[in-house]
Amino acid sequence: MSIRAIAERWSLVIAFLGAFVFFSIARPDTFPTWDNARAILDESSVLCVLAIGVTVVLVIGEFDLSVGFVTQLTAAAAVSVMAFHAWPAWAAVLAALLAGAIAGLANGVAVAYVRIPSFVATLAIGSIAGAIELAITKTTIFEGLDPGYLEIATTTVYDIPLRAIIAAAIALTFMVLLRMTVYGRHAASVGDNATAARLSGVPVERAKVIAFVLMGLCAGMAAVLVTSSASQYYPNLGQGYLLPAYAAAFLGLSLSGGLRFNVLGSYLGVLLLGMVTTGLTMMNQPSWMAALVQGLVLIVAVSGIAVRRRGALGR
Amino acid sequence: MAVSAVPWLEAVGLTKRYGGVVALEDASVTAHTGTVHGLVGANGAGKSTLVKCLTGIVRPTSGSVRVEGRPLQLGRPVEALRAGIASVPQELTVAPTLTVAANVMLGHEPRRRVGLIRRRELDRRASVALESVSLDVTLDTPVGQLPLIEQRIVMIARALSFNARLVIFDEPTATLSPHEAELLLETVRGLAHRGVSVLYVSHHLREIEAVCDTVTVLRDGRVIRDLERATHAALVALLAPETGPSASVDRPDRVAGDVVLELRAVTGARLQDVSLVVREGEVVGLAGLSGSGAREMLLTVCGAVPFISGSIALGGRRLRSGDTLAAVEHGIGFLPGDRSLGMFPTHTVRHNVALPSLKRYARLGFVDRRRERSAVEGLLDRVALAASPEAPVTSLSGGNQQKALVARWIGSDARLLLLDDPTAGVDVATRPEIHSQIRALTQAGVGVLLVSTDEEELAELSDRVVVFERGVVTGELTSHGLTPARVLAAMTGQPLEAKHTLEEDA
Repeated sequence: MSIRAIAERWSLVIAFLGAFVFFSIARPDTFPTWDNARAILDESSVLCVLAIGVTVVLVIGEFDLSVGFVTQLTAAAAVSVMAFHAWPAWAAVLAALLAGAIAGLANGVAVAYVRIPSFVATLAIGSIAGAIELAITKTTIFEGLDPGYLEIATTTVYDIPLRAIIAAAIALTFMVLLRMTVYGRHAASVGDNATAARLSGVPVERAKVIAFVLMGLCAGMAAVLVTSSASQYYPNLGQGYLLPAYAAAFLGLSLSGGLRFNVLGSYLGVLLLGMVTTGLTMMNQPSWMAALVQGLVLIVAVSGIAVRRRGALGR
Repeated sequence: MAVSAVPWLEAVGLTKRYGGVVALEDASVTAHTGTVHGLVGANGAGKSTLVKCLTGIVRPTSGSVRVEGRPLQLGRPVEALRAGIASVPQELTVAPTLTVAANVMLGHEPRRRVGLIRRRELDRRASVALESVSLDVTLDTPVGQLPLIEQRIVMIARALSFNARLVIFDEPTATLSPHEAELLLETVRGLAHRGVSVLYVSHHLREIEAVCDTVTVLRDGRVIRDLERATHAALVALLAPETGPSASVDRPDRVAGDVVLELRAVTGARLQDVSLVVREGEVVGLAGLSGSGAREMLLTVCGAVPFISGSIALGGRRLRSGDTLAAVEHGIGFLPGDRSLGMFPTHTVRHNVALPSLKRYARLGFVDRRRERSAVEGLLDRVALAASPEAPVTSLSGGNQQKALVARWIGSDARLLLLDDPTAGVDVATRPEIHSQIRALTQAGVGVLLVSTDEEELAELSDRVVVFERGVVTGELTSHGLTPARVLAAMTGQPLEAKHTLEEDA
């Protein structure tokens, strides 16, 4: 392989290390420290979990634009069962996951069986999810959550935040799911060529529904991670996650040679975005700078993939 | 046909390497005005690479191309087009909802200064191009409404609309019935007659014999022979030295097994009252022109196309209309004629081959990759495909991709195989291998429904051939009457003879 090919193949890893070196040189006292790494891992955990869910949906060749709304809805579900019914923390977590699964099921059925294009279906379901959220919470802020619930965000294991461990564990689980199981192979086949998959005996509709339910479960988990850390629920807390979640997944695409969305790539993509945001903040850059740099990084990464795909077709 | 002394196009010493792999080595080829020049060779012999070098899609590692004596800038599709080199790709690349005129002029519509399209000029130029391929259709018909053959001819007209002086055809008759193929060959001859030169790439040696004035034979990326007026026999001898004529292989008489597939009075959008039985170990050929119902039969049986009335039973179990999943689960394997319906392009050969039988290599939902890999290696061996299971499937040539898809169904538990042109794009040397694999499967009790645009293949493989015309079964040829000539006659609309044969055999 030529140096250029290697550089393209490992562009995400190179960008990752490059960003680390750059910020370490720029802020040697604060950036390359365990405290900072821990903070980035902790703060990235929400986006990690969402990006992993998004990855599964992208693998089967669909889109889910309801991510932010479903996160809000599941947050409302978790918080309201604690506030209104004094349910314990574990039951609140289950409520969030259940709400996420139901929203995912609705998305999946609308896309796979009613055959609405996923772009439209998930926008519609997202809007409905947002409406239900506000109907439950009456657009109020909930504070004073169950202390056990808040411990999710404050617990550390060997000095590693529990939230980061949860995100990593979910990443590992989904990596195994997509790479080593029959379902993973089915999902990848559906995303690549749904007709051929159907003719090979892959239950295409079921695979799609499962992917959307998995996405919903991820949104539910992300909601728990957000609310436990913020120690409150506030309306529209899911805003702003949709774009970076997809950005991370597309950054991760380069890790497979630009061919397939993959969990490891998405995970590294999230950490890269987190590192850039933190590093720029440490350099006292205005907050819009982070969004600007993230956008530029994404363009560069994805255009590299586009060029390579064109090359593959031209052969 | 007078051959002028200076060739219109002269390619000298073209070499293309991909890393360490040599796709084309020192290949030279010439094309004269008003002649048809054939290009033949096994899968991976370098035909497509050579064509891509000429059309500028691929920049050769070394070598040169001269057009009318002037050097052509290589690796630039626009330059090739400007010089008058156009190609008609193997796949159908029309925009089905656009009109005939818009398709012909697609990408180079005559414009006004502000960018608006000059409709009348567009129609005029389109009709000039259509006239030169003798296609008589209304300019504002959406292309998708035309029969397949006319869509193909629209593609040829598009190539000509660039003022092409050399038109390159890559396997143009791959999905056409014999009758349609003949129409296409006539169009090719017509082009040469008008002074266009043609480069004709095909595995169909009879077509090469019928239409080409000169032929270049490639093997392993090198030109091994240039021939004038090549005969079928001479080409077969060059391409498949070991294989003699195999059309008259004696079929061992088999005891008919149990019924695998039974259709009773099936009626669908393009089928009428079709009843048919396939037994274990039997190959039933379906013959007919495109749109006759032969191919539609396969799609209906595998559930890709619904039926309205009647019943389809697989091993005694009734299949619901349009339920592909149940059909595949109960043992139907479908090898589509259009590879884009079968391939997973971003995946490895292993993934492509193993998918339908994945459950066999899995425990508790986890795939045992080692077992999968060794099984796939065995299957690749059986279709004589020398590729790593881990290679991306798109790194294989078209014919080798076909072999991989055949391997997929050889390895599955299918009880009934639906084969649509199983050797489409496969070279002469590999064809018998795929055929013998199909025979081995039937000996193991698999039933086969075979659709082929190649009458020799139908005659060679089938135990009997059912003839379709306009969605209706019009006759049946049993093993005694199965010669390519008879199949061809029955396919191209001589139903009386076919029925006659039926009575004769009964």
